[in-house]
Parts: sequence; C-alpha cells; structure tokens
Amino acid sequence: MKLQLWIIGAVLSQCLVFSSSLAGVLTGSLEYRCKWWHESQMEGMDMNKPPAKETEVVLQKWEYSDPIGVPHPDAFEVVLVLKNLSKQTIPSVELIPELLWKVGKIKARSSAKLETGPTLKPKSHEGLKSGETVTIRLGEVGFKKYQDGLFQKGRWPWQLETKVTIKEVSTKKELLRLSAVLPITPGD
Amino acid sequence: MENAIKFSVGREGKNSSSDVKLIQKLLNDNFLKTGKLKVDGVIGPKTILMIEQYQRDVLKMQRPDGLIAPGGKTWKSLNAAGTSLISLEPSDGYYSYEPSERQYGSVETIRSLKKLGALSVASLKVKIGIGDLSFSDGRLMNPHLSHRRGIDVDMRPIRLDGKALPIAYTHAQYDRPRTLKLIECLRQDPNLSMIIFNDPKIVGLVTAGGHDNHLHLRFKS
Repeated sequence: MKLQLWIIGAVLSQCLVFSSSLAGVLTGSLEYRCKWWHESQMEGMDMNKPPAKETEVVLQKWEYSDPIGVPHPDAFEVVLVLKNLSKQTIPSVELIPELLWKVGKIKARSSAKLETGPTLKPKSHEGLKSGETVTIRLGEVGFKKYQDGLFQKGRWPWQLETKVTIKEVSTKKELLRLSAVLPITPGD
Repeated sequence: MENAIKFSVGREGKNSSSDVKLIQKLLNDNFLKTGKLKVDGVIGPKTILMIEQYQRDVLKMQRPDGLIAPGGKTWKSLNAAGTSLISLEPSDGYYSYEPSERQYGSVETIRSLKKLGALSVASLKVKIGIGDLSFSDGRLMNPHLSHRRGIDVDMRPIRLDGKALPIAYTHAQYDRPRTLKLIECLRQDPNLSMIIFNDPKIVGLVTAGGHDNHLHLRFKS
C-alpha cells in the first residue's frame, strides 16, 4: 500500500514538475485572417465582375473605406500560431476561445458595450514538438450575417476582441493566454 | 397597390388601409432604418415613429408631426425618394471602383461628376476613381450611414503613377499637388456642399475616421 502511494505520489509530482516546467516555454500569436484580392488584381478591377479572392491576408482592422484596398470580408478566421520554445514535447493542449463583441449605436461609437455575438468552439491540439511552430485555425466568424442584423436596427459591432486560453489537457493547467483586437469601422 | 395616397397617414390622420400600406411600403423601400415595417395597412406606433424619423432625418424638420398629407412636403419627398436617381455612365474622365448598381446619383450630382470628368481629362491628365454613390432605389447601403439620396460620392485621391489603384494620403504614391487641384476643381462647383478627407496639409476639409484613402463628397442636390 505504501509502495503504491509512493508510486502515485511520484507520478503526480513528475506531472506537476513537468507541467510547471511548461510555463513560459510556449509562445504564440493570435490573428484574424481572410481571403482577399492580391495587389496585382486590384488595378482597374471591374467590380461588376470581380475576380475571386484567393490571397490570404492578415486582417488588422475591418474597415469600409476603399472597397478594394482595405479588406472588409464577409467572414474571417481566427488563427493561432503557437511555438514550443522548450526542449520537450508539449502534450495535448486545449484551446478555449472567447469572442468579446463591443456593440452600440451606429451613430455613436461611444455607446458600444460588451454583448454576446458569434462564438467559436474550443479545440484541442495533439503534441507540440520541441521547437515546432504550428498554425491552428480556430474557426470562421460569419461576420456579414451578424453585422447585417445589427445594421438593420441602427447598430454596429464596433470591436471584436478574441481571447484564447491554452491549457494542458491532462492537468487543465493554463499555459498561455493570448488576445487580439479587431477594430470594425463602417462607411459614412 | 395605389401609387398615391388619397388621405392623410400618420398621427391623427385618416389612415385608410390602402394609404397606410403604401406609406409602409415606401418607408420600407426608401427609409429602412429601424427595422422592416409590416405592410399591413394598420397604423401603429412603429409606422408613426418611422414617419417622424423620416421627417427628422431627411426633411430636417425640428418638430416632426408624424403625419403625411396628400401632396404635402413629406409625401412629395418620400414618393420621390429613390425614383429620381440616375446611373453614372462611363466616361473618359473617371473609372469606377464599385459595381454600377451602387453608382446612382441625383441628376445634379451626376451632372457635377460629368463636368469634373471632363475637367480631369483636360487639366489633371488623369482618370478619377469613383466609388459608392447610391442604389437606384435609394435603399440603405450597408455599411454606409449615408449614400441614400444620390448626393454622396466616394472618390479616390490621385496617385503619382496615375494607376487605377487604391491610395491613401500617407502613401508614397500619393499625388498631393494633383489631389489639391482636384479639390480646387470641386470647390468651383456651386453644387458641392463639403469634402471629407484626412490629408492635414490641405486646408478647409472636414476630417473623419476612415477617410485617409478617399474623399467623401456631399453635394447639395
């Protein structure tokens, strides 16, 4: 019995040591990406017959200003880039996204407050090798439908902030937390 | 459905069912702002609220009365909304960077743009990029707040290389002298009301977020 307890204790302590050693060894970034036109497609584009958008771009903002030059996609993806800086494999991780929408009157940005909107489901990722960088697509946000519904009521989603918590599956220990803000600007 | 109201519609109006239906349809088609009205011919708080909003926003009435009389100011405006816009025809003086369905303007605004197009060929030696105006029926142009009455026009600044490409005033290819000349041409037009554009080195402009890469022109009619 004592031996069994000792073994369990040893295993648990190994897990704890292993887990704590993961803290700070995982780094990463969170981005919004969408398909848009390549610059080479933009010159003299016939907007009555626009070509397909096939180039993936990182979305710094959603803005309706120049309809060709500044992306304002109907849908975009939330993409996580993770890098394992440690010398050991990081076991299975759980990725928990939280989408925070600031919504208010379209005529008054200052009226925007947090409210629920489109969400993304948690995901998991198996084993991140030492030194490995992985790109994980957390899912697509169907922005147009959401925005349309608000717009018809004189409202606007002024900002999206996505927060992602990365946890080790076995211990539920939090390894990293990332966030990214997307300002959203309508036309005037 | 009739195409004109016979009696008054709205607050304390006669509100015959066919007249109310017509007003509800016109408000839906031309002034969809607070959500779609049910076209049921029944006058209610939502219909009256929308009439008042229309009077406040479009007619700039200080004290909207929520009532539409046959032949009255509100009726004339609502009935004309979306029916008097004409398309921007192709020209040597400008190119379009929006689909043609989004390029309908009032007669006077289209006339102003044609004049500008001729001027741009003659003196600026470049084609002007023209974006959103309005839809032919004046319906809401998501995600614009304005661009419904055919008097708002988005226009690109001029590039040094003259290419039909996007350009912001912060970009190396931005041609400030010719953009200034374009603005001076625009200012000579008595129909021009204002220009929104963020280049801080050009005086007399209105500035607003999202206007680094286009001029928003508002014409008077």
